[in-house]
Order: sequence, then C-alpha cells, then structure tokens
Amino acid sequence: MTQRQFYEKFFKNLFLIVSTTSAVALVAIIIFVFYQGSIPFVSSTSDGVRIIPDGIEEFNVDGIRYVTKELPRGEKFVELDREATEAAIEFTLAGEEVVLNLTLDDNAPNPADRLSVAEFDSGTLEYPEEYVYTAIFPGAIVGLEKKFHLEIPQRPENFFTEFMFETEWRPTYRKLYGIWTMIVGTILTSLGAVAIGVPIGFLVAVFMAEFIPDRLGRIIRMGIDLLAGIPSVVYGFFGLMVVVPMIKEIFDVPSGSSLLAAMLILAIMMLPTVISIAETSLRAVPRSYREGSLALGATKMQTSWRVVFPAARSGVIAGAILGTSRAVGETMAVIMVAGNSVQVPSRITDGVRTLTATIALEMGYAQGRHNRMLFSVGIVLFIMILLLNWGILVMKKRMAEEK
Amino acid sequence: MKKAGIFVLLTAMAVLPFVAIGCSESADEAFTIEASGSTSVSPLMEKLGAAYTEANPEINVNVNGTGSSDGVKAANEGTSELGMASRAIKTAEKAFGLDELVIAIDGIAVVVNPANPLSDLTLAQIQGIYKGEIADWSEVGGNPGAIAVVSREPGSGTRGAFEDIVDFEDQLVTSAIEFDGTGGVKAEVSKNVDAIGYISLGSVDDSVKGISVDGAAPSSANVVNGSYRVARPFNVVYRADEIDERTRVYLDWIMSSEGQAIVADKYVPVN
Repeated sequence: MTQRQFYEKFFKNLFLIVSTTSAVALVAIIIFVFYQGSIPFVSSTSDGVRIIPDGIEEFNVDGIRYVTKELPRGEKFVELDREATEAAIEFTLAGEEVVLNLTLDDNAPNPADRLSVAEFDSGTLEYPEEYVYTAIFPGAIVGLEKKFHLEIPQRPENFFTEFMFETEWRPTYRKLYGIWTMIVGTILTSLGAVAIGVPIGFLVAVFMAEFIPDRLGRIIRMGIDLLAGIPSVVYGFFGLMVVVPMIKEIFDVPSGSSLLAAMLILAIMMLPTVISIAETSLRAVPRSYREGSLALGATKMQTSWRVVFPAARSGVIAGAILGTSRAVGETMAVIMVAGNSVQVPSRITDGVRTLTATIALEMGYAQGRHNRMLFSVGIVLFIMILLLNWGILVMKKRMAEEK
Repeated sequence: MKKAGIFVLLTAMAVLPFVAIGCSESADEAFTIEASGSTSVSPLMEKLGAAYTEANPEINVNVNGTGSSDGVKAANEGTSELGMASRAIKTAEKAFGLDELVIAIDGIAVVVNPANPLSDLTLAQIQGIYKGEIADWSEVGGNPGAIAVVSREPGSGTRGAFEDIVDFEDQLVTSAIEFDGTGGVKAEVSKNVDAIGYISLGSVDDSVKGISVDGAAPSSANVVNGSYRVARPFNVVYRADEIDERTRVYLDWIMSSEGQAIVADKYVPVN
C-alpha cells in the first residue's frame, strides 16, 4: 500500500465514522426530547399518593414499619396503592404516638380533594402548593420541625386543552402548564421581524447587486458577512442598551422591553442572511437578461425590478426563509429585549415570551413535571419549524409550476 | 507531505484531551470540590471557596451557577458533591433524602431606580404591585407613572422565596417583565425609572436603591433582628454518607466562626 492509498483509506474511514456518529447522535437527541416531552401527557407523576418523611427516622404506614435510612437511595418515600381509599401513618413524637388518618379519593376533580387528613394532635396541616399537603410537628429545637409531605399524583395533562391552548403558565405553585401565550409570542415576533427585515434585505440586495460599483460592493459585502458572524448576545446587548430605552422614551410606556424591541432586533439579525443569499442569486442572473431589457429601452430600475428580481425569485425566497428560521430559533437576544411576560400582547409595546426563551429561562430551575414540560415545549417548537419548512417546500413547488 | 501534516494534527487532536486528563489526575494530592446550583448562592460559595483554597492550596472549590433545582438534582445524581439552593427544599426533592445545611440567611431586597423618590413600601403594597392591583406609582405615594414590574423567571429560588414571603404564589401580574438571573433584574431596574424588582440583599449596590419594607431598611442587621421580613435561607444539600472526607471538612469550616465571618460580610451568618 502506498502512502497515498493509506491516507485515502484513513480519511474515508474517518469521514464515515464522524458522519455516522453525528447521525446517530442527532436521532438520539430527537428520541430523547420526544420521550421526555411526551411523558406528562401519557402518565401520572406517580401511581399513588407518596408519603415523604422529613426529619422523621421511623414510621408505620398501615401497620408496616419503615426506617427512613433503609429506604432506597434517592427514593425516600412510601407510595400508597392507587386503589387505596384510606391509610394511616403512625409515628412517635417525643414519646407520644401520633396517628395521621388519610382518606383518598382518586376521582375527585379538584386535586386538593383527592386527599384529606383527619384532624390530629400536636401538629398543623398545610397545603403549600397544588398537589402537596404537609403535616408539620414541632421539633426539639426551633427550626427543626418534623414533617410529613403528602404528594398527590398529577394526572396526565391533555395536550390540547391543558397545554397548547391554555393561557396560564404557572409552573411552580399552581402547576398550570399552558403555552398558548408563548406560541403567540413566537409567531408574532417572527412575523414582525420578517415584515421589517425581509423588505429591507431585498432592497439592500438589489442595490448591491445592480446599482453600485463592484469594488464598493465587495467592501459592503465583507461588512455584511462580518455582521452575520456577530454572536446573538451582542445584538441582545445592543437591544437592551439602545433599543429598549428608546422605545420607552418614544412610546412613554413603563418598560421598553417589548414585542417591538424583539421584532427590531430579530429583523436586524436576519438581515445578513437575507441580503447575502438574495444578492448571490441576483448576481447569478445571466448578463444577457439585463442587456436584453436595457436594449428594449427599459430603465435600470425597471430592469432590476421587472427582469432580474423575478428571475432570481427562488434564491431570494430561500434567503427570506433562512432568515425566518433564524428569527424563530433565536433565543438569547430575544430573552434580553422581549420582557418575557407570560401574556398575549394587546399592544406592540407589551412584553412577550417566546417558546425558546421559556426553555432557556427555566431549564436550570425546573424540576419534576415542570422540567418535562420544557421538553414538550421543545417538541412544539420542533413541529413549528417542520411546518415552516413544509410550507416552504409547497411554496417552492407551486412557484416552479408557475414558471 | 501536506497530508502527513494534517494526519498528525488530527491524531494529536484526538489524543491530546486524554493525555491532558491523565496528567491532571496524576498530579499530586489536589482535590476539587464540585458545588453547583443557585445563582444567588454562587457568589458566596465562590468567596468561601477562594478563602478556603488560600489556606489549603491542595483543595479547589469549583462553583457552577446553574439554578437551585439543578443543584439539588446534581447532588442527588452525584454529578456534583454539593448542591446549592436559595430556597427551601421542595417536597418532591425531599424524596431524594438529601442532607441539608443552611449556610447563611439572605435578605431579598426590593429595589427601585435610584431616581425614584420613593423609599418605603408596606408588604401589602408590594403584594398589590406584584399582583397587578396597584399599577401606578402615585397610588403608593410616588411620582405619577405606570409601574414596570420586574420579576425573576418561574422556578427561581429568589422568586419562590419572594412569592412565598410576600404571599402571592403564582399570582404574578402577567404583564410583569421576567429576567433570568440577578444581573438582568438589576440592569433593568438601574436603567428604568419606573421599574421595581427584587434581588439578593448581597447583590445590592449603587446602581439600584433598596427600599424599606414596613419601615425596616434592607440590611443584614434588620434581617437578624427580624424587622426586615423578606429573607430566605441559603441551603447546601449533599449526601452525608457519600461525600469525600475533605468535602466534609470544608462544610465544617463553612459553619465554623472563620467561615461564618466571610458570610457575615454581605449576608447573615446562621450562628
């Protein structure tokens, strides 16, 4: 084997390994997201009510003795049977036997009614958040109370009524996971950005391709390519420092963090993509088209708009679409300027929250079902982007037929 | 020969990381304590870690500010020895059976723009503002102007504690602006005359103005004597029977008078 053959083989195998690995990784990511994101809609958070001891070493549930230390690692709870209608917890508090009598009703519509605790001595009962009861008993030292947490299982959510079209996003205490406001937010910011960015981008592209000398064009193009490489957080920072205070000043609103600010920043961010792709396809239009048009007596403006632009249409549209994808997926810059308010905006100066912003904002803080719901948000985003791409394919096909 | 060069480069790139890992592991008795979690606790943990490393050069404390829930998760799964949480541990997290240690008490300061003449609000007024019942500064004795309510993102330890103390759990007015991290809230309030926000007391500086709640100024002294009521614990969670001996010594040091003296600089010590 010559050296050349060896290298050829080496690189061939290297590329094969790399591309296979990345394909497998991509599929794995998608499966993971879909798996995590679909859990809240198919299964309950647990089968039955969970009894979680807090500061209590040993206790009885329905006569069976449990020692907290001996419960499995990471699963320090006792789960009641799903069908159970009553249960009793017994434990010793400062030498005295305390009994908690629970009555369960899995069919009650209101989560708080699915479990009730009969009155008991020496302690208090709280309902600190939806689906959780806490029985608190005074401890030997202040601040070291002994507690039982009773966690009621959360039922599978309805994908449409409780997730997609529900407007309340209150994940922490009330455990409501409606993302309608964010779907609206994502659509509005993207549409607004397209409405501002694409026309400007087209005009700049035509100007650069048709009206200015080549050398100047090259310099401007270099600048635009440079803009495409600026990290989004820099755009966001610019928005936060310049655009947001400006909007507050002009519209005299409480805060400039708004839908409008997000639209403007996204429009600026998509410009480089739109311009460079549109310009490339405008330049690809054969010279003879322009010459023919000019020879017929059309002005330069007429030639650009009526001849060159339609000929380059598919490339120009591709630029617009790539820009739109960037707007839908952009996260960091939007978080910084959009205000992230969970509401359907009624004015252009109201704050909005996008789907991507929700994931980025809450990932580090989410826990349990809230965490899974963020994956569900990812699925919705994924489907939106698929729909967008599908729409584009249809549009392209229709345009090809028109020709 | 150009190809040979590329070949060598690629191989080197593939092998180097492993060599580097091998080296760092074989270096002397160095030990790194991993702590991850709340962005509010992180600055304190970094300070404690730096002071500890100065006295014990072989021990390093690596701090990751990822969020309270993330910290508890990391401690449970063992990806990080210590988890930091700026709120009480939640029910579902209690089920992990982690050991908890309160290393400091932190006040949550309600902050407004320095140009805002207001300097005192009652807890009920704050609740009204955050629930959307009070929408204009003139209703609470300030200059006329719509209030820009600034909050942290859902799930944040600071937000959870604030909503709990001010008593408006998950009833935040929907038009509130939400930021991730203390920095975002501070930036917005420092730029916007009409804004009101809340941040860790230890993070208050000249760019924002902390206002008195029910007449008590936001200060460590007032948190200690109980007159400033908006305060929450800084928790560290871990598995006592699984952490390294050196980590245990570090935790003991945090709770010692030496460690608590560092806490006292900006927060309220627990002893």
